[in-house]
Amino acid sequence: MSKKLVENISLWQLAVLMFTFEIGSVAVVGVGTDTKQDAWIAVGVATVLGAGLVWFYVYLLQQLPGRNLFEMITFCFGKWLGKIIGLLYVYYFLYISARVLRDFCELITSVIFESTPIEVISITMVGICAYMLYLGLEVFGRTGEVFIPYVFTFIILIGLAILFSGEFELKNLLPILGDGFGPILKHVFPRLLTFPFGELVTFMVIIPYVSHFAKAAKVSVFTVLVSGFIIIYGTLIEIASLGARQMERTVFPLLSAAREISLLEFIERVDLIIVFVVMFGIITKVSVFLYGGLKGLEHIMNVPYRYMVFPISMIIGYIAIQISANNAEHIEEGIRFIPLYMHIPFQIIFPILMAPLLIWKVKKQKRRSDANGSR
Amino acid sequence: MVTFTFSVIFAGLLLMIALIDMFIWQQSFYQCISKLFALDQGANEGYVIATAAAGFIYSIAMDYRIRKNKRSQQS
Repeated sequence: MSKKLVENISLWQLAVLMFTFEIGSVAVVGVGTDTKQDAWIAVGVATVLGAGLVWFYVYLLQQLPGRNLFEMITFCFGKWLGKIIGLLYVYYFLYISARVLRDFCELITSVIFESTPIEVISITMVGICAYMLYLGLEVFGRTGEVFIPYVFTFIILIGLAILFSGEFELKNLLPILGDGFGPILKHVFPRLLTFPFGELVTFMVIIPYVSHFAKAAKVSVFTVLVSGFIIIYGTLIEIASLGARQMERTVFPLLSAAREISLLEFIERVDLIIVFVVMFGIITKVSVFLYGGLKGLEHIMNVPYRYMVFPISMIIGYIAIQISANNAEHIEEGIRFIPLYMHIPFQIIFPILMAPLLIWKVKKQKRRSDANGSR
Repeated sequence: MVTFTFSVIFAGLLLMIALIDMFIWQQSFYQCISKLFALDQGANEGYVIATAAAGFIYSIAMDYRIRKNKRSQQS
């Protein structure tokens, strides 16, 4: 029943990709700023819900082992309807990939390379992602494995450096739950649950290629909890060093927090370390979304995805620029439109609607094969 | 098939951007589409347009290669 899969990644590589995927955009734009000093509580609640959501995604995949999201959709809805729904998912993955790329381009052009055209950054970054994906999922997984120790160490070190610089003001975290639990829940759903946790729906294209598929659920849930913990840690750093009001106004909160670091009046400008973390996170995130889109196209068009890596990547580079006229417009679209009209249908509503149909069809298929076997 | 895929994805994503802009900024469809194709003065959109064009040419070349391989396998 299950299709033979050529590419495989280990459970550790899956965990690394999930972790870097989660912290990618979060390290750029920050999360939970609307809940002010309670942002870390909101992230904690979203992490628990996100872990449940990821368990649900893996549960769906376990019903049809070895098949990815697109093959599952075709199994449930038939060839033509399955292709149409699959194409909608492809558009969703590629659009979000372009949005994530634009986030990074804005960060780089406003903080590091102020005179470099944003278009050049966009083309360069998408070129790296395209090359990595052209080499395959295994290379992608190994790249993550190489860089994860640096990413993890740098994030922990930034927190410690802020603490030792004397910029860590615990009173900025007070009052805890000053406005009650209502604003937190309002912010968790839909914004925090869908970004960054719900975006893991893309991993429904990658998880079937994990070598020990049986343990994928445990590893995925554990990774979401760990990455949630790191996001809470980052949010605490932002609130304690900048204060809730300044954090709300800052476009790149973690970067601004890192700029406060001054150890012995000698170790300064360590914000570049954050840029490294962000760069790797964004490369992973763009690549995962791009891979999801390409695998969808491979399934729909019956053409190996490697043939399409370069052309589709170039489209992403172009769309990342055309997506909005400036950063303010880009963020406004990300807050007002994307969570409600794109994330919720593709991350939550559609998988929930698909679940009963999938379970019923799998049971029907099993009954049929049992009946054939007894004859 | 690669060229067809390129065209479908390119047109679809542009349409999607225009529809989202229409929804958020309350502009007409024509305004949103023309905004996408207008080149701002002083901007370097030429770079990304050139790479998108390179992607299109690459997809044509890829289709030609696939067809050539198929023919040589048949003969």
